[in-house]
Amino acid sequence: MRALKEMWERADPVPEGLVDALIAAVAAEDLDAELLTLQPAQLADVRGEVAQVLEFTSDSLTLVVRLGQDDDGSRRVDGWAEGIREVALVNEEWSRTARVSAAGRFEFDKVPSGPVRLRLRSDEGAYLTPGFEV
Amino acid sequence: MDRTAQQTVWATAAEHYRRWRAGSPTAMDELVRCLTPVLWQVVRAQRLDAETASDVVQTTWLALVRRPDAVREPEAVGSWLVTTARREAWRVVKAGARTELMEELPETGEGHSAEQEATTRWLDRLLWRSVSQLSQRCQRLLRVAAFLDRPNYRNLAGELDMPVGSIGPTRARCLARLRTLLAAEGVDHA
Repeated sequence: MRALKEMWERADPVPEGLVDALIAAVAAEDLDAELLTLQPAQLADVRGEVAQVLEFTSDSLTLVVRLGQDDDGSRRVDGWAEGIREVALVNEEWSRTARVSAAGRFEFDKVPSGPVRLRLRSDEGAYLTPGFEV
Repeated sequence: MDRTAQQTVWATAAEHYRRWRAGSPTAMDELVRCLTPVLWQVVRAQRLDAETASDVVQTTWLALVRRPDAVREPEAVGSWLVTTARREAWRVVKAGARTELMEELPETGEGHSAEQEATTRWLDRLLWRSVSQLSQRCQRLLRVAAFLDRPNYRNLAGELDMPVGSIGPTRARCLARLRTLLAAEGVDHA
């Protein structure tokens, strides 16, 4: 069994950077993140389909989120906020992370419907949105 | 199995967790460092791709931070995390997450002498190839069992869809089959 264990440890090690990312994510969860405020929602007509656009703000951050659907009917969340480095879509049971582009854009596809929140980190600090329905 | 080293991991984890509950700011970081390698193997045993597996491991840690009362005894933190990770991995597989087949043994980094590296690689390759020929259930059982100590390994039954009493015999059969495959390759593995 030990030879097997060592083989798997060598063959499939924890990806580089994952432990640090986890430590950051867990620490952010422990932190007092700044709560963003939801601005009145608008409805935007995008490609003939009505998508919901949400805007969240605080003194130091503005986050725009678009809730839409893919062609296969699955839900997606696209967002943009200047200066963010990390983003996670969370609910009570699960969380997912997404890459943030240099311009501050991110996307989550195939999102299960239900209440979610977004957690973000920028160089300024951590942010949390109020819950919204996907 | 290397019982002493295994028990040290769980004992160390319990100690970090105890210090975190007592308010130590760095204890959670150390706990994450200490148990993530085990959780990674447990999740990857479900054949999730690396990105999904990373998310599952993160969900597991966040669940612990969000529900600190879920673990009553510090000694139970390791088995709670392993169980949570396994269930979450299982849930995302059922929900249609991407899985990948066991492919060729990935290239590993350097660090040892060339000779030692060659010997290790040869053995790893052989083990990898032999394990790949086992049933999926055997592969999963052996991989998870290799990273757990006995008490944890007992409550595998539910997730592996086996009666509790058959885990031990199944593990023994999987190991016996693996030994036969290795013997066929000319390795007399103790």
